Amino acid sequence: MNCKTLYIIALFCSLAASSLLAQETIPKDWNSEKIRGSRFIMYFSCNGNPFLTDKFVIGEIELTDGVKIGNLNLRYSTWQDELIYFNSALSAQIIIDKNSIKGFSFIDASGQKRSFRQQYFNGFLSGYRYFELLSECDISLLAFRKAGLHACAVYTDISGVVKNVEYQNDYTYYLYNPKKGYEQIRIGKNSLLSKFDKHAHKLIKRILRQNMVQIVDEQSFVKAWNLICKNGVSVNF
Amino acid sequence: MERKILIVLLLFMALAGNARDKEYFALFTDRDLYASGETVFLKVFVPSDEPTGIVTIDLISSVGQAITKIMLEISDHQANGYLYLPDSISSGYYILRTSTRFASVHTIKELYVANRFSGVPEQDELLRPSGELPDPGTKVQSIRINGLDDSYKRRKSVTALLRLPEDLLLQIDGNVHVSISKTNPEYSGKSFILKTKSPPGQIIEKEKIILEGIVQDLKTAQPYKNAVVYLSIPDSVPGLKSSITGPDGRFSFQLNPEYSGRSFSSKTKSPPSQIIEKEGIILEGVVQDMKTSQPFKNAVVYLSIPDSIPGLKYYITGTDGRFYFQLKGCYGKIPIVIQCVDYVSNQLLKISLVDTESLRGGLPLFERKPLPAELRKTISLINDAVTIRKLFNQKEITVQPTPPLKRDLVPFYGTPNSAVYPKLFTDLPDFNEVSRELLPGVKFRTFNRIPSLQVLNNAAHAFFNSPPLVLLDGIPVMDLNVIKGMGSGKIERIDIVTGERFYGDLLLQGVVAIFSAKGNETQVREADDLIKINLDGIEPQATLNIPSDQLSTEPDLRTLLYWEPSVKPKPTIPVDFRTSDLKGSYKLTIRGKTRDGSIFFKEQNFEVN
Repeated sequence: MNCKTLYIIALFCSLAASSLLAQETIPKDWNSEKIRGSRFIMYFSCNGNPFLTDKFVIGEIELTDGVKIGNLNLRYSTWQDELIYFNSALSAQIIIDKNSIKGFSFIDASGQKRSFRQQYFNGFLSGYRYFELLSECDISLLAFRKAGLHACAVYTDISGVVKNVEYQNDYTYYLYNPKKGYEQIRIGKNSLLSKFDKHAHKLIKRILRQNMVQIVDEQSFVKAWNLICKNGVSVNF
Repeated sequence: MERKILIVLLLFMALAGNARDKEYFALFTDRDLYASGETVFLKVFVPSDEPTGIVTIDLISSVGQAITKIMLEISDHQANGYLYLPDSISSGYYILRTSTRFASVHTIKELYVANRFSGVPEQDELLRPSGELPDPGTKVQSIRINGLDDSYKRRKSVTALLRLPEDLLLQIDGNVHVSISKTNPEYSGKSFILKTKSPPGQIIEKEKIILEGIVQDLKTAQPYKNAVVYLSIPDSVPGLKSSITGPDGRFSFQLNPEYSGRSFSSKTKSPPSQIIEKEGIILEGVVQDMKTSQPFKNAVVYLSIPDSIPGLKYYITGTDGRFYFQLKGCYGKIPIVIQCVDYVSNQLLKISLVDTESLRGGLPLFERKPLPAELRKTISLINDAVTIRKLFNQKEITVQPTPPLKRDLVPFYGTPNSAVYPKLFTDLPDFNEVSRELLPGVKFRTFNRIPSLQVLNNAAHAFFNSPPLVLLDGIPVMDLNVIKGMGSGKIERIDIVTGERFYGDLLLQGVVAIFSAKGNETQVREADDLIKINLDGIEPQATLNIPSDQLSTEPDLRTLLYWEPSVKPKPTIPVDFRTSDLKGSYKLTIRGKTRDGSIFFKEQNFEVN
């Protein structure tokens, strides 16, 4: 190719690039909504994990006014139902005010997107909680990821202190509809079937059989729920 | 191969050529001739590729003086609004100018405004703007106006039908605009495009600074010829420059860079940012060190809007000392307090807002032209009509209520640990007593007449070493002397946050938020590091008032009979209006923009006898 032609192409490319550079440059410290919270103080150390993830994960939060802030180091505390983020500018772990956000999401180690939303729970121990959204239909399937401090066999921790408690996961699952509220559900085929009229049981069983779904854990339960939703079987709720 | 490359290059050039053939803002007013005290109705068609969300309309006199300005929200590539012509302006030609934060092209619309108290001007010649005339738009004959006769009697109700052809309907971008107003054949305010290369005022050309200005006669407010203007720069070696004004009263000085002192260089060195007002008004400013006048890095700039629920915005300055705030959904006038503080070295700082007017530069040339004799007669008629309308207190417009500013439900410092209402307790003379007796975890002391405040850190069970953030009616207070004298009678409520709070990248070591009984921010005074402004927000929408009673004994002297700036295009658009008591020629106009950016219109005149 002629050298001159190459020069001309290069000139045009540089001109095109200059037009891109002339576009809006938003300052780094733009006055977007600021995340508010208080300092995180380490929990009681014992066996088990008080957090949903082992490490901080990159995630996104949605503020109450709908503004989304991404690329945050997030960690959800199942022990206190708190969302913690790491502020690198202040080098501090901060508990985000629950009333300032709508929800948050992150991608876990297995590459799966996990979405949580903050909503009011009107059952026992009422208040605002973070629920994980497992399935979103007319009736959503939610999980309340809670860790409890349970008594266990005596052991010596890494500091040489003898302890007899550990963090254990106490997850609860709910069917939720904004109009009808919450209905607790357990992971299991019988529990699932009990939420439907008897005449629909045959149909549900057939759907599960045809799709080779056996409810043995949370994942298969969600899969089964999604299939039932997709087939439009009405829930007795 | 080379041929292919050449074809690509040609295509590229053709595209670039298309890009250069840019659309401009198109600005239309209800009329061209006004009296002071009247309202100008505005319609702006915005280029489809315009990224900004706000357009500013300035009213500028023939001597380059900005009279008033409004900001309009752009929606669907269009903006509607109104501009009030104050009674204080003198008779003459004025221009309305569209601008955005960094527009290099302005659309200018000329108006004649007569002061209704001073009457017709005595001078035979007046300054008129001149400029490159844009394409006025295409008159579309296929739009039909049915049911509109050639003449009507006064106070006659009329229904006209506008019929838009199908092919045009498919091409229309957004809404169309319909108006019926009185015409004045003797005067037509022209509209033109003004292209500016750099902001006005201080222009750097070939490393020289040009200062421009105008000299006016104090009595007549007209440009003054042959005035000698001196420019002196305080220095150990006295230097003086002079310039003699021309017929337009303008003068200019050219300064070499060595003449440019601090005050000049600080403005010209920092280039304006390229932030576009997409979602709201942008406030921009600079923080400088008081001693060196240099831009100050890492200063915390607070912006607060006084309210019952404290909301705060902050910005940490960079090396250029600049700060930016975006204010969404601000309509009408909004009181704003902006202040800066240096938490690291406690330097004395100076804060100033960037003069956005200078960014929006560009004025056309004004030439002396005679005032037509027929226009003088019309001016006096319009003046009388407006005065009578004012006497009968007939309001031209009804301003729509503005949506309230979106505020947080919870203060930025979160839910306070305690809230104290001092009025419920015995009367305490000053804040020292209030803190001692009523405020848990708050220590206010005065030592050597210097007040100090500390808040308890709940987690550490000890007082913080650093002072807390003190707010008075939502405004951060740096000088504790402001609150020192506040006794319990002057305080409505005190919110206390004992413990660390985080707000973005700010660490607040406790918060004491005082809400005064009066609930205003007058106690916070303006200083070098604090600015209080009444921000002109986006203009709220307004509708034209039409007197409802046809048989009313009050005179109906409307010059604008119908104004619908945003009508959804459909095959038939009904237009219901009633003629007023003012005789003369009227014009029905429908105007819109097609997807290719061109303006189309159709007009039809009728008489009122």
